Amino acid sequence: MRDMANTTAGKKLRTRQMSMLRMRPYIQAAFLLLWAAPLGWFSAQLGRWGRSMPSCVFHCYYAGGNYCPAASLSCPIGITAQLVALGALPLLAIGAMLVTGALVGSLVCGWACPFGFLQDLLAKIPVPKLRLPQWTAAGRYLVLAVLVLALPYAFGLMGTPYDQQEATICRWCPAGALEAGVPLTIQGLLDGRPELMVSPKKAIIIALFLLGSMFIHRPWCRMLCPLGGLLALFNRVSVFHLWFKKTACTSCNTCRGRCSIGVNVDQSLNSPRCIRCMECTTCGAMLPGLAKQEASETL
Amino acid sequence: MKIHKISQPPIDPDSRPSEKRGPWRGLQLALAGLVLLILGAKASHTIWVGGSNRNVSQSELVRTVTANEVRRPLPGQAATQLAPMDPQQDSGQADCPT
Repeated sequence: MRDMANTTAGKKLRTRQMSMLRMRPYIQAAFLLLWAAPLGWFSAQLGRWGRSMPSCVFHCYYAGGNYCPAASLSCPIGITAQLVALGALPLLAIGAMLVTGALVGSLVCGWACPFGFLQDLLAKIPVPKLRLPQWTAAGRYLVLAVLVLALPYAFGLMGTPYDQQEATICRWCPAGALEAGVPLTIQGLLDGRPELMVSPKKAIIIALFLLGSMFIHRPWCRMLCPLGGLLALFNRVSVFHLWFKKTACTSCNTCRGRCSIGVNVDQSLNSPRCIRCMECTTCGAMLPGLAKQEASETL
Repeated sequence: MKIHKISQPPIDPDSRPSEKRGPWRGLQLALAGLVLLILGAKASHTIWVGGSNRNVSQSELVRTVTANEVRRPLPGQAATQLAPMDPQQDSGQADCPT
């Protein structure tokens, strides 16, 4: 049975997986243009509709006249926090996250998220990489519970509007600092208003994020991203999933070696810590769900 | 990306579950998400914007919070309907919350 890995079918499968993985940076770049079109081109095309809809990835949102020019849709986490501060149930944002999670789980993290793409690019810088303990993944749910839900609601109830609250996800979010602060500064320069749109606090956050991403694979995704944490909860039930094909496994440990997140792929492929980059599928023994079963597998 | 072999106990393929599953549970959850999207599109909220209480749909609310100063409704004040094409919605007075 183990010889299946070395058959023509097994080699074809590995080649196909490698080709798909080679396309990943280009697919991420294509999504980057969709979510954060330069100079707000996409936001202009989407117009009022775009501003009314939360997206399914982590990025800053379009904010009217004082807008973040790179955003085409709205950040689902920011929208959730805003509506919770107003005492409203964010059904649109929850629905968008539920549909996305139920269909693909955290696949958007590995293939579509612009912020994840930036971290992947920074991780390519050849410096030593630090490992993170598994318990740090719980930080995502802490951020969700405190900065997205509890504090905005509590301060909103006390009459403090969301944009005046300091302890919210938007005030501390590096995505907002990068995707809003930097383009707004550039736009200001182009408009003849040389004004730094990034506060000292945000500048420190940006610096920490950029530095952290060089030495740790996807630090934001693994430790702090509330959206990734939510979507990853669906990994065990989503339509798209990864599965293990034992006839193709030769116990080479390639799957564990290629996982940059530190998921124990030998124990659980659909872990809530997984970003579904699918690097572990290189060997051909881990496959995307709904993958066509080869006829030789029935032998 | 260079492959790094990690010295760990080898995987025993025979004892490892395949984790293959059907799509039905995911599809049911996706359907629930669609229902929430529809309910969200129909939901109505009362907020303070542009100096008075207004009734807005949730999609308008999503757009409004990113464009204007929005507050919880003032008690004791009647709410008027905010028309979708109301120019006050694009006053752009809001401070960016980032």
